[in-house]
Amino acid sequence: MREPARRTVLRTVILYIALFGIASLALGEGAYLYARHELARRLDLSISKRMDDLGHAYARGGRQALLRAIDLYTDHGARTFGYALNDADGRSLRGMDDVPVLAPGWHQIDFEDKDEGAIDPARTLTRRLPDGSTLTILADRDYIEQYDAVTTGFLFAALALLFLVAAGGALSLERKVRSRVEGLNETARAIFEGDLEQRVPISAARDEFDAIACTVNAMLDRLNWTLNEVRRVSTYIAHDLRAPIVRLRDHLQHGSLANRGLVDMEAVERCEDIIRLFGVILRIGEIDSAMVAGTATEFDLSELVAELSDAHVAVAEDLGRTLTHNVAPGIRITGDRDLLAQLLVNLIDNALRHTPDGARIDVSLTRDEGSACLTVADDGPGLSEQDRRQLSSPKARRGGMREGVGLKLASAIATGHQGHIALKDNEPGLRVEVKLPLHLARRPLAA
Amino acid sequence: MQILLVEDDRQIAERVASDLGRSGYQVIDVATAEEARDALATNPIEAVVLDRLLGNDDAIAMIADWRRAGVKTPVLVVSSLSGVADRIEGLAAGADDYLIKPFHTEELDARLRALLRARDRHAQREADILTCGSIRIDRRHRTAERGGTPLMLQPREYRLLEALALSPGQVVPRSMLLEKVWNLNFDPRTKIIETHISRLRDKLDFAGEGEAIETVRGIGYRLRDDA
Repeated sequence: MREPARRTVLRTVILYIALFGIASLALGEGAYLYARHELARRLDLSISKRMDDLGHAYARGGRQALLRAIDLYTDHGARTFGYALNDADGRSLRGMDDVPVLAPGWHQIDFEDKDEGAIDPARTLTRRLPDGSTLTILADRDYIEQYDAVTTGFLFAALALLFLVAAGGALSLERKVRSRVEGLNETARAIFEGDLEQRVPISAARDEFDAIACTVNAMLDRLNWTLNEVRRVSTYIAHDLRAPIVRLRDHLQHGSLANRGLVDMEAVERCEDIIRLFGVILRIGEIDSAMVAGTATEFDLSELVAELSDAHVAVAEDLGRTLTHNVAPGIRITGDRDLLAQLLVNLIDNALRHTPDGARIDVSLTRDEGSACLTVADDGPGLSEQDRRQLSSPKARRGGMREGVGLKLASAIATGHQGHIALKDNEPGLRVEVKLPLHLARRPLAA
Repeated sequence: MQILLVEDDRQIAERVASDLGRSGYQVIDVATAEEARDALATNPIEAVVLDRLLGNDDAIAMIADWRRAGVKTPVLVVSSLSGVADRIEGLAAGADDYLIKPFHTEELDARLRALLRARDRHAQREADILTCGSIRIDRRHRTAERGGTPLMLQPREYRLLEALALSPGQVVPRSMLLEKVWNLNFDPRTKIIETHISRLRDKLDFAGEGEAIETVRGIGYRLRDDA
């Protein structure tokens, strides 16, 4: 019940972070590529401009003017550009002599930077002059590369920061949602275990969760009120309906003077059967974990089971059955001793009633981690799987109430002790397993 | 011997009062907590039979009040609430016994007797030897004999015989036997009492003449004081 809810929120958060990351990455990459492209374009632009200037110098004063302009540019101004002038045979006339003669147009070459002593990529533009010489301007791409390194670093740092903020926000949202949902869940579980007094906590925030909590609490109040009302009415019915039944029985027993002193014992016993059945039905409705917690004491379950089994050895013998028992000693349990005694007697009674002559019935009690496991197994005809399922539900009303009532009471008692009953195939026969926690989880508020 | 009966259902009150009257008690019959308080203050009451559901009055609170005020009169609570919680609540408040409606007059009778006997037990130590007709029970050694012949009894059979012998010649209801011998506060559908009575009977019959234990159908068993 709990795990899937957590996964949904967590999954949403992870998906959200992933989408956010992808979007940020795409945006960053786009900005980076655009800036890089723009830088390259500006570099090309300034190279062409310088080429135009040199071209004008040549046009005005021929080779001499060009050489002067190259010297001027080389000696002054930033050393962003390099120049190489070669004659038609490829001999260096001016500028850098280690630049290969290139075909006219744009090129990308690797070039040894004498200042840095390293091989750098360079952007070049070459033009053929009317006298057959070639002029090459080359620009170091170094600063675009530096920009690359800086920008990439910055971009990743920004992305990491964004991711951290997003993840932090998403996780805190997830934790908040989970803690609120957990509060609701906790309450629902407590109620499921029979503690109808539990309510969903309401925070001071008065947010959407609190609105749900208020609605759920109002619903629980209503449910609790209805249940208490039903219980109260049942008590009054018990009070009001038993009295006339008792009077009827007493009339049958004492009013027999008119009947010439004959007591119809058959009728009296039928009355008592009705009274007893009525009591059991009332009791099934009455038992819940809150009630059990109110009357629970710690006692030696092993002793109780051994004693009651012992007491029934002779009973079984008189009925032609064999009852054996195998009880692990010293299992102490917190529970209602009377109810657990009734549970066991009902199971033994059930086994005695539904087995043929000569059947074997075995009662056993073992400890299983934090639980006691009480088993009553017989080798009689057993039950079909459908019947087993139907009978093991404490409140199921289908089928013969009379027949299943003992088992249903046993089941209600086990549930009241936060345990459960399982009906299994003993191959052949029926095997009733009752699992009871040794300690009741959390004492519910007084009902 | 005066008994105070607090019961708001007039029909039940009259029946119980007349039954108790036949058993030799003098019954003061009231319907409210207030009348009960007055009756308790002005009469030498030996025991109280109190209905758990008394119109507007809370019987449990009433007992607690009496106990706080130092009233030691034994109280038997009668209720149609079969709930274990109510029973425990009643006993915790200071009630001495709890009887669930519907009940047989004989059962009420037997329980009242047991209450009065328990009260007397504080005054004088109960005898170590119980005798009932030809049956003699040594409570110190937990042995029994009939007409001088020792009875080989299982522990439960001994306790069953002892419980019966504490009220010689009188009916001991099934519910009391279940409480005293097996510590069970409900009537199991299994024939646990019948089986053990039958074994005890066989042993008693083997040791002496005449049927010692009588079955009072639907109510309980009686150990004859002339057998």
